[in-house]
Amino acid sequence: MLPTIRHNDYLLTFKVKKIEKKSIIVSFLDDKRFIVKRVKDISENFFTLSSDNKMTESEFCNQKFSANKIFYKAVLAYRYPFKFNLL
Amino acid sequence: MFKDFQIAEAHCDIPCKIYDPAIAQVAALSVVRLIDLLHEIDDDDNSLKSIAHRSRLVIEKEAQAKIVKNEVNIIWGDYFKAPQIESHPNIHTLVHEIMMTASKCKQDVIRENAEELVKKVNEFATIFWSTKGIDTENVVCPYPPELIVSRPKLDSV
Repeated sequence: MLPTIRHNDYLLTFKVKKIEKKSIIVSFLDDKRFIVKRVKDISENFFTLSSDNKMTESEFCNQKFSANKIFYKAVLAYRYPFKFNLL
Repeated sequence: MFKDFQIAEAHCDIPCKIYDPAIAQVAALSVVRLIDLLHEIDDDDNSLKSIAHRSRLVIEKEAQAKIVKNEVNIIWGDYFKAPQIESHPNIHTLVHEIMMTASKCKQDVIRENAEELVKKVNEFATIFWSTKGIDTENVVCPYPPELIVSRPKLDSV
């Protein structure tokens, strides 16, 4: 997700019922893992994700995700020591 | 306080970013070699041993052509993204040609088809390495069928 989010950045997120196109979301991948990606497209029941870093590959970007999942919208990224970035 | 933070991942490919067209190149060379070996068998020899040997070569030729198709498909489908496609708009046509040529190699035992496959996979490899900013050079492979292959110029350590 470079350059928007770097490894070890902290994200401030809010639980949302509806996701919006182009917003950055955090969602459950399984019971233990979360993923963070940008919403690329939304259809009635599914949405697709994209990465801000177009030079890297991720299989998340080729998958359809159910719109019934629980989402957290990322609104702020904190980078040590003093950098805050509104998303 | 920080121990309660959850970790969110942005990547999941395992292994991430490890792509190399060398596997497809070796498989394409193998197709040429297997066709050569098939032509070395005496057409009039219909002994069980000869038939078994011929069968093995044909099966392996099929398998190697499939490896070419699979490896090229993976790199094309998983690695090539908008920036790489924009700089090499002919990549879709080239990949389709590789698929067609590999199929021809499966259908027949014509050496020219296999040579064409090696040539096209070399072209694919050259494009792949150029997207990574790595120059390539043409060298003769040091084993039969001793055809020209495109390989990356990598740093020595």
